[in-house]
Amino acid sequence: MILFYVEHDGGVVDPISLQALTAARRVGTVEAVLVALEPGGIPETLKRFGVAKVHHVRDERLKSYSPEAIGLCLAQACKAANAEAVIGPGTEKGNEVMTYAAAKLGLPLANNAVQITPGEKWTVVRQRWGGGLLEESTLPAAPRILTVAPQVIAPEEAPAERVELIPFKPDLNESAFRVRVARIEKFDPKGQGLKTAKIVVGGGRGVGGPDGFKCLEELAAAIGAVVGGSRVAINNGWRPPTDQIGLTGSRITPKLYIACGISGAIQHRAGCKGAEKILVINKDKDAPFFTHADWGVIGDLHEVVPAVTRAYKNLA
Amino acid sequence: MNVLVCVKRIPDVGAKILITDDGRAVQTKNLGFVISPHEECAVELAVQLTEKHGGTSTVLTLGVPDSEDQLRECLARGMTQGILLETGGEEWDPQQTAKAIAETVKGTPFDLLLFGQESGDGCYGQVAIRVAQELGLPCVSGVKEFSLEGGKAVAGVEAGSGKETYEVALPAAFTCKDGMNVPRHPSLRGTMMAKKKKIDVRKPAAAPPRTELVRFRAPPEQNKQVEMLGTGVGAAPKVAEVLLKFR
Repeated sequence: MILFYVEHDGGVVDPISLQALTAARRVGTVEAVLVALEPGGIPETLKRFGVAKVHHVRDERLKSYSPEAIGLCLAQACKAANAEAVIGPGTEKGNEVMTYAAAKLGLPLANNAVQITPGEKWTVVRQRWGGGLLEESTLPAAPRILTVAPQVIAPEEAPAERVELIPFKPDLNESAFRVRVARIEKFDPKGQGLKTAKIVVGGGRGVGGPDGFKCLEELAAAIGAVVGGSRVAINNGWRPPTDQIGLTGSRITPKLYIACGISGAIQHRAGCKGAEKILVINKDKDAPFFTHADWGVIGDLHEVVPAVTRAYKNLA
Repeated sequence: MNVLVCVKRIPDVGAKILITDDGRAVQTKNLGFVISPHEECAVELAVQLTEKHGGTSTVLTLGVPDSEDQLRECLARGMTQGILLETGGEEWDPQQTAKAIAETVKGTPFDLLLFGQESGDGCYGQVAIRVAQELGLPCVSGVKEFSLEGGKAVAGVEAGSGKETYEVALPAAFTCKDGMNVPRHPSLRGTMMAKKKKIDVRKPAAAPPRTELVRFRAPPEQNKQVEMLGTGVGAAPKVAEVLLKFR
């Protein structure tokens, strides 16, 4: 039996948890661990995805996010249920909580797995370099602790006949709550442009300076896009840090990403691989980004981009 | 204020990662080496804090003897001392690494232990939490804003829908996230001074590894067939037609 850690917000299961749950179900029978004051519609969603048993942790102290305490819940649930494995979503918080669980159990954690093959020894393929390299390794005897990389497995329903909510009372001392969220300020939705934009225009080394971004801004204004930058653009102070697209910045998922003057290093591509289509404008015909693009233009962005803006305005 | 920053030497890969013939390592023959972006921000934070509050800033790495280069670069950026936990070249997993770091710093009165959110190569993101657990310290992950207020650390973390604020008593561990500050470049004077500093080199024994590497492999190519729309400004009409589809 596999225990699955569910992430949720406002009574709704996080979509990445449904992807990871689908992956976990392919390995064996899954029971979920749900940390929530009010389960709401979550058990029903889990049932649709094949979960018949939900171990429900209801503790007032867990009202605000406390990663160490949740990790301890998972470690204790794993022992109590004698689980073969504990699997969670490979989000930032999912990986954080699962690291605590693994540390409490004194076990390794295989995070960001893309393939899990059970057997006498479990074989796991996991992402390194934000997905730029895959690592195949074997895990020791049960229990195995893993997280599933986001956006590699499509969520698939497989309804269970019924779902049972079983209370689970972990033994949590106060020290497990040393790290807890004291307060949350909701983001201004306007400031969240990059992550939710339908079209993103990105600029890199080839932009050459803050002034070079003007033509990107003009194109973005014309087509309803949001402007971002590569790490080079941010480190040179051409754009604010919040605009960074890449492995260590924002991971974007637009319908179209227009990359201007960006060569296409794997760290940058890790941040835009969620884009449905990619258009690359670069004066270097050998720029590696072209081999990962849907459309390409060879040319100096300072000439091409203003011409595109004019041509678009004429057509639209 | 005594601050420890842990960094990792990683190859400065470009657009493609090449694997050695035996499939067990990344081909680094023609590559330079750097520390991960998140860790550069941790180094910057440590330097800023000790400039303001005094005290020491120690940079530690676990890796091959050449990792000394990365330590010296951090010293050139203003850190005060360096510790190298020398290994033979094989990769240590997060548990082995954390154990060696915890044993090294146990008993040293650091107020802050800073890490990067995850290394650029392995992307495990586990060492900080595991070190903190070994030492019985709290650890806040993914910090974008940091300040000290009345003996407490106040840390801001960007979560899905909002900015979370954590308040923890020191000593404590933190993982820093790229974008929290703009790391300074080493000054010429800093580089000269860093060359003269003595690095504390130790050779920890590796705990037995718990996982076994089979091999590395390249991710499947997405087989994208790029459609070239032209060269220079002449391509603009075709690009505009593509853009219209996304209106």
